[in-house]
Amino acid sequence: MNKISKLMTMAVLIAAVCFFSSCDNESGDVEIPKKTGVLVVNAGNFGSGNGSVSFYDEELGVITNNIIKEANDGAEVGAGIESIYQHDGVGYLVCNAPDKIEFFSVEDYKYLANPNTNVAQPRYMTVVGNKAYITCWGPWSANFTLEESYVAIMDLSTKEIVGTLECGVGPEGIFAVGNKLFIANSFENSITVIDLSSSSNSKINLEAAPQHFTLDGAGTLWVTLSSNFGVYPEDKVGLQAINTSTDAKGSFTKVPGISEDGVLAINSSGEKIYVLTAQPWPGTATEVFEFDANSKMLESEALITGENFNGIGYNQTTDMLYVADAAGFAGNGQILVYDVDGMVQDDQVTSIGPFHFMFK
Amino acid sequence: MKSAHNILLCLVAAMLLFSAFHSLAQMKTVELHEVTIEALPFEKFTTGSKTKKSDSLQMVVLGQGTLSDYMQQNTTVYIKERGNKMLASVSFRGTGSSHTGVFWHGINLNSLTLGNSDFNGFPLFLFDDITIHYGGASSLHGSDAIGGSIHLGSRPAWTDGSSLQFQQDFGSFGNYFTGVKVNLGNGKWESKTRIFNRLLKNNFTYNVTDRIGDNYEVKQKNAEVHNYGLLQEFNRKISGSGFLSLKGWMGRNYHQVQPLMVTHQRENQSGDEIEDKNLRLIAEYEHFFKHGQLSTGMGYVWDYQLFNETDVIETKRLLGNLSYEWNLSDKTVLKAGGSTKYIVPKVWSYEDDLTEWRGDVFISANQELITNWQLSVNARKTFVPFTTSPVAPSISTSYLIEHGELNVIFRAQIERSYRIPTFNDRYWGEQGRPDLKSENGYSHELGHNLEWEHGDFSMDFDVAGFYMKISDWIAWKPSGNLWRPYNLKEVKVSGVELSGKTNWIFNRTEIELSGMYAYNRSILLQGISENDPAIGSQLPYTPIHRFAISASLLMKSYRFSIHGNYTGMRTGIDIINEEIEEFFILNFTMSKNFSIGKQMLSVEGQVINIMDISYQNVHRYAMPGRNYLISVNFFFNK
Repeated sequence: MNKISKLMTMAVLIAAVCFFSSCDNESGDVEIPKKTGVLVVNAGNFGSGNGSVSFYDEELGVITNNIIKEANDGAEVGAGIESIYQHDGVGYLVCNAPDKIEFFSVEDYKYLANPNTNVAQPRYMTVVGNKAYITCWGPWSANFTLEESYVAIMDLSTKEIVGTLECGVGPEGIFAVGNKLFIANSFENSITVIDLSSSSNSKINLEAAPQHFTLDGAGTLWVTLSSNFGVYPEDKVGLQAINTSTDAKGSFTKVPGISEDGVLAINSSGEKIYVLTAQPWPGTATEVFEFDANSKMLESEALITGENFNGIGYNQTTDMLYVADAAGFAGNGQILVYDVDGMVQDDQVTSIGPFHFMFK
Repeated sequence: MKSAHNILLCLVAAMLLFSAFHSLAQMKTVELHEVTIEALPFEKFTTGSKTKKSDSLQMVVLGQGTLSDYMQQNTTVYIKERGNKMLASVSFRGTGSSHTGVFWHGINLNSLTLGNSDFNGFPLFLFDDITIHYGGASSLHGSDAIGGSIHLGSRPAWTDGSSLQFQQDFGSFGNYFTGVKVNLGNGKWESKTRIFNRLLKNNFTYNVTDRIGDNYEVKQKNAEVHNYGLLQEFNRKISGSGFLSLKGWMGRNYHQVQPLMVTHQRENQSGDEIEDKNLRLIAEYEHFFKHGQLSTGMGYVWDYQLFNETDVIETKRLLGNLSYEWNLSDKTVLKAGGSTKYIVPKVWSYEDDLTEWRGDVFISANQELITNWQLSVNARKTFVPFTTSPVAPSISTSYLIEHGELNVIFRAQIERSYRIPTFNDRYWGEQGRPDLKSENGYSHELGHNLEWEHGDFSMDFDVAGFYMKISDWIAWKPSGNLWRPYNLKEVKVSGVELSGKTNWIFNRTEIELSGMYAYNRSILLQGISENDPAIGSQLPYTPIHRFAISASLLMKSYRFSIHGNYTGMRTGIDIINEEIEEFFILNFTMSKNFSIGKQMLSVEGQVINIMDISYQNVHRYAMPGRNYLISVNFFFNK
């Protein structure tokens, strides 16, 4: 009987081993394009570690998904990605769950160092001199408020956090003009202004929650304002101008439907600002509106309309407008490429939650 | 909504009256000992569908396990487990995690707020048996039974005297299980008590490579499990023809949330944790008449979930049901009844005074058309405020051919099933939409079963093929500045299931070989929008292939068994770029029983994942390699 049991065990083992020998994973055959093009940040699902970066070759109209994973023997980012930044050939991925900053070579997408994990809910960053400034929400308190928001200072040579700066609650977008940092406190209605040369720290008060910045061709800083989920009145949602020398508020233009992501992009001449909005419920459409920074006029008709738009970007080299359709984060999203007249030129399937674009 | 509620109340009242008259008209009741309560109440109306019952050996081998372990090892249903013994959700016949109803004596255990169940939250130790009902069956079980339904149960043993079982397990990674079962009774009443405590440190190791190419081994952190529970049951025969049963199940399942494999890189992390507490109480009474059977019951369910010690999700339910089954002739059975529930949820984003009444009415009939040709017809309707769920009918049939030692059955079924949207879908802040439609399933199924017994040799073979369409599948999408749920998706599922078993007894030795295989194609027909890239593709986390094989040898008081289960390639929710590798896990079990009179000691050793396969069930969550378990069971008065 023992023989039978042994034989049986052997047979099952052999069958299983044969089975497994055919399970080799085939990967690493993807060619890594090192040319210029568009990096698409796929935010991923929160907590699922599936944020990723795609590369879109505008010339050939070809997309390579998971380019960082492919370039690094399968080592994926393994987090959600909130934002991307490039400086001096280094790409920075600001990640959540787990919170970290990843460093990669913009040329060949290889990781450059182990990530810095000494940040709590990092959001966006900018670079002045040899230092990066990263907005961080800080940890959630027990009753889901933010009580320890800050801006982290990272030394670009050592990639270590070397200090922090004070700001308001829920710092989101951050923009540097010369030695001045403008920080959008998105859980309140203010912008923190920090002059790095004098270390002065002041606030600009607003009537709605600021999200992201862009600088127009005339040197005016524009910030998107949202209602922060109904905390601020809907008629204060729009584009606010800021004078970067005096920190004074300039004109305000109402742009209904700017969401808490407050996404915007600017064209190569610095005249046209593109803003992503959502139609009021029960409408479900999302729209891209064009705003003229010189005349301060918002086009009355949307340039582009569609469902589930999640982000926009503008390629200042080729004058193409990029829209990210995240498909509700429930599956693969796509990017749509438009010309400046709003005519679609291409569409490509990405990974989960395409959000931001970076043009290299 | 009010009118639906009134209709329901009228129907229930009418049924009550009718049952009362019927009982009066048939004062002659039957003696209970003539009646064996072997089958579940719905089983005589499932003639054309596939059902599978656990055998007692499976329940003993997995004594410390959970429903997730049972499903992974003994069925081809896919369980998506986010790390070892972590949140485990089901994909039954290629459907979503909330398309399987899990029932305990008729109570749907799926979370009313989230719509699904954690299969690691149901400890096998508490139950006598598990019945798996394949395919849609809302006509019998109500909401959620689209892909299949699972029935956890116990049955009266009518203990005369006392019996006791004590189990103590020790396993790798700080795995301790202690369980006690006590049965007391005098043949007319009995008390059944089951109590267990399980601790799992889950500190297994796995390998990672960091960004600069260094490879090192890390120990899993923040993945502890601590569950305990008590199930108490009193059964009483009343005046010879009635049967009263009181059941209470109290449980606490705590687990830390196993982090993603990359998260180990973070120092001093404080991980997430989830604590579930549940209380389920049932009082059931059945009365047997000469030509029928009256069943009525009441229940109370409390579900409580605490996330990271701050975030509470709580629901309370009061339940009531009444049904009557007529044996119109020895070939015809008719059953009708209704149930109602009153739900009180407590979730921070719902309105404070939110409550909801729901009710079901149903009718079932089974007819033997000619000898061995059975036909079942069932229908059910659930009434829910602000929204409607469809009338769910089913018709199923089976034909048995007996030919000497050979029994061959052919089965067929057509049915409609549904799933009522969750409380989150309907009442979450401003975003919930109370008027969301129920999800809809239509399915067709054909099956065939063959049994052959020849002397000490027996074999059993079953094949089932099905086709199913699920529409109005709910998904959340951005709308305005918020996300809201919509009836958006449509999915078609087709598949084949094969299973076979042979058993051979000779010279006080028994050999059993079994195998099963499932093929599921779940294709998205309509997605989140018209240009959803997933349209036309297999759903994520839905393996096309799954199989399980096992061989066991029983020799005197020794038992050896080897068991393997395979889960084929599936994709993550990125269906284009995210392929998750297939895995095959092989386990070995050896046990020896020592009997002294009516006392028995059983010692069992298990090697789990013998081949030390490094695998992931859900992408990015480590699973343990080879590990061991020793189980000691003492039976007193077995």
